[in-house]
Amino acid sequence: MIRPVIKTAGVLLAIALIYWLCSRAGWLPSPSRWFSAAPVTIDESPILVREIRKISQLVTLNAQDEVVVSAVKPSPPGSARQIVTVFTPGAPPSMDHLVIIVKGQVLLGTELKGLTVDQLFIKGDSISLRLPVAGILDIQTNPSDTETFIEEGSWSPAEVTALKEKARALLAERVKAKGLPERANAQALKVMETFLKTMGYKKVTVLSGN
Amino acid sequence: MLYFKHYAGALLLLVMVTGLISCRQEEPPLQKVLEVRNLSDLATTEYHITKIVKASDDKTWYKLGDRKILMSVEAVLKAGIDLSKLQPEDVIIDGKNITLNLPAPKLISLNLPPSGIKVEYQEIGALRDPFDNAARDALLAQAEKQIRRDIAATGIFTETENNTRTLITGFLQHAGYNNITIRFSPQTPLP
Repeated sequence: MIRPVIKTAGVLLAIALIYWLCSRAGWLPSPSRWFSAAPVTIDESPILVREIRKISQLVTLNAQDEVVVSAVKPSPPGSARQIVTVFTPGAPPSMDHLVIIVKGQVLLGTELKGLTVDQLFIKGDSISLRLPVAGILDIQTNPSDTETFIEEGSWSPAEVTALKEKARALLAERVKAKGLPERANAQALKVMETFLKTMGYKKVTVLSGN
Repeated sequence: MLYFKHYAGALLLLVMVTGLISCRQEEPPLQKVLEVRNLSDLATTEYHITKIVKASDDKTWYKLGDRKILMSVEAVLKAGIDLSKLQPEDVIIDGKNITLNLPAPKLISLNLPPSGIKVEYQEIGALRDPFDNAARDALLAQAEKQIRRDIAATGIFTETENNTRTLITGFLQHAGYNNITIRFSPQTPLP
């Protein structure tokens, strides 16, 4: 009576040991991964260059910031969340929430394209230059720096895009409120002065504004 | 009859608890203070690129049916040189002749604006949920990584060398130099 039980337990133990060894070697998935979802990977695809532009920008400041944006809307009729609320006495109307944390980078500096010959004066080893006023050149809010904190209900790509655009506007607002365009302007003058001195000019005057 | 009352009471309690849980308010995280860094970059080239993002979610054995998504992504790349790396010994002046040894072009920014991301096609199995924002962002983050990896192959750094040369040559000609030589340091692989 006991022998078959021991025999079965031995076989099961041997199977478990073999499985454990195989999972350690990476040939079979470990038991902890049986119910974990397989990662979704994108296919390789080429990059298509649509347009190449010549620019001349002096980038003098990089501000890294984090903003939280949220949107709320009533759950659509017939959705599971709406039905649960209908059958819950005293519960407020069901709302869908979307909260996104966006880590963005704002690049500030001077657009040199507007620079004309009138703004540059050279005589011997003296140079005088008037730079345009610095401002925001670029706002980066890339998917790798975006975290979805709460996503309840169904949100269309257009609704998400509108919320992310709100985050970009908020980033720009915060940068302006902190006086960073002025700081970028001061840095642009410093960078240009150093560059011109490196180019061999002894007397360098760099100003900003019209 | 008594059992029925018990079951009905338990069911009502369950519905109420579920409803209250679904109505809870989570506090959004606090916004962090911004971090500022000084730069000295001269950006001379901007590339507008497109990439197709294609994925199938059919590898998980216990999920019945599959779902597929096709998105198009527009990105803007900016490249230029770091002027802070330019040292006095990199500039050789001999009368009206000048030789400049400029630093290697580098990527200044990679921007995937939200307005440039479009879901072109989705196919969702009857027993599957559509791709939510978090899932779409995870796929787009992979696309961003692929773009970063393949940047050099687009020829942006060669174009940046040409544009920087044109821009600085124009300035130096205006400054009165006749013979202008501009060289660039060799390109180091991207991290």
